[in-house]
Amino acid sequence: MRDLLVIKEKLKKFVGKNEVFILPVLKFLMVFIAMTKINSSLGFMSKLSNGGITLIVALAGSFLPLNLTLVILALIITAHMYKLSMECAILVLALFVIMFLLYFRFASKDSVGALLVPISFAFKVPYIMPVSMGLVGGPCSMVSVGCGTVIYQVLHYIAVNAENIKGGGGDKITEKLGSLKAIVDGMLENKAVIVYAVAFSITVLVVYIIRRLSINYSWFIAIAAGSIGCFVLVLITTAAIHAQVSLGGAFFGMIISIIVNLILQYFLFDLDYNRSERVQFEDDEYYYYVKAVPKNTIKLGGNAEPIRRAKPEHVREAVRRPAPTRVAREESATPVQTRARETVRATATNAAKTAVKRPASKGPLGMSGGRPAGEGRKKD
Amino acid sequence: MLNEERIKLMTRMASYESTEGKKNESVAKHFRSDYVGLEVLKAVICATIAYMIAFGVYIYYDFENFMLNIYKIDLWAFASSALKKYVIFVVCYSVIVYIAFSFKYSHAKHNLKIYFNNLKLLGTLYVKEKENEEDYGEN
Repeated sequence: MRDLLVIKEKLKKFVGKNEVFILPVLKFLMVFIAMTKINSSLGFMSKLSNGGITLIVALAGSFLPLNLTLVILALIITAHMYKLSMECAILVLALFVIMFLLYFRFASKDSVGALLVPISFAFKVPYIMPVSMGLVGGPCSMVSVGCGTVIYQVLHYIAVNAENIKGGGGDKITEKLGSLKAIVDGMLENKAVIVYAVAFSITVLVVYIIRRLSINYSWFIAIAAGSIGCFVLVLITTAAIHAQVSLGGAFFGMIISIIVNLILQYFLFDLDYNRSERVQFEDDEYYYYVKAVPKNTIKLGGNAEPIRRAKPEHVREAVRRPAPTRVAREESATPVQTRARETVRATATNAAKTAVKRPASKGPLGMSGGRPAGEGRKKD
Repeated sequence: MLNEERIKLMTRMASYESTEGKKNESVAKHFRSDYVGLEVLKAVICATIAYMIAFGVYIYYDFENFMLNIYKIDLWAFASSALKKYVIFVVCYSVIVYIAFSFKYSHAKHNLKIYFNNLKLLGTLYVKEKENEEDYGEN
């Protein structure tokens, strides 16, 4: 446990020291992965699918605000869709514009959710995100998680049915319009969107509410309740609307979600509830009921090694100095101490002599009252 | 002479100024009703555009059917139904925006209050420090 704490502190120290470099690198990786996934599943426009464009967009994303990066990614997706079919491009563009207008205009901080949710879907671990966003985000995160889910499901449907969509679009306007109707109808038939969007949004809210409660182990309870609740919600909604969702995947997703979010919790909110304190005080205007819970931390020294907690001076002295031998004690004794010891020895010798001469006195009931000779007080 | 308490306070205040402080200041410049009203107005415009886009996509989606039955359908009823949905959508969205931005305004005001209290405290620390220096000078 102590080693884990040391690793955590070292990592925190390292990130704090190199935050200027680490944040752009993380953003670069996130945008790079998003671009790679977009190109691999929707790479209909070959000019945008090459590695150079991917690198340029990822590099731009590393220093641009996340909202702007999201707009760039949305435009790239729309361009790919345009190459596939005009209808898909219109549909996807309309979806993005509505999302930007209605949501990201006033909750821009949560845009990371809308980007990470499709990525987690692409890596087959979507169940991590609603719990994570509930832990680190706010109640508005439920909308960003919902938006991310809808975006991924729409794009996934188009990627899977790309051949059919391409074949459906003819030159005649009726065929093209029929194509749009077919796409939208196909999407509406995919009820997994509803299952995921509803389950994930409710999970975000539940996790947020529980982790804000003033109870011990609130984050642990939130993670467990969120992960299990998400699984149960998926079960219920799947059964209710007869959607096609992998329940085995949902179960394993729940377990992975618990593990990953416990790691996240360890780095973000590791508290020692055994040392929590409740205090009350007041000022002119308020009465305060405060619960203070100390963090589980360990102090690192200059060489990044843990500093041991110093013991009090007298304890350290006792530990360092061995107990003196009798000879050493007598050598270092002061004259007063020597005289006192001699007196004690003389008294003890006299007492022993007296005990040998005098018979053992009987007690009132004929029992031996004194100590047997030679078993008197031991010599020093 | 360096005063640790003052340095901590100033660091915290500088951090606030560079992040949330700027936004909160621009928010708190307005009266509550002006700020929330302006945001609701923007929300109405955005909701109108979003509704128009969604309506356009819907018409495009069902265009064939719509064109075939354009002379048969009651256009007045169709328009009034669309308008009703528009009003419901805009009102719901505006209420959400009103609540969200009222909360944001209160939050910004609260943070600014803390910031100004810290400013006062900083001033007090300066005065104390000056008095201490004068005392040492006299002694």
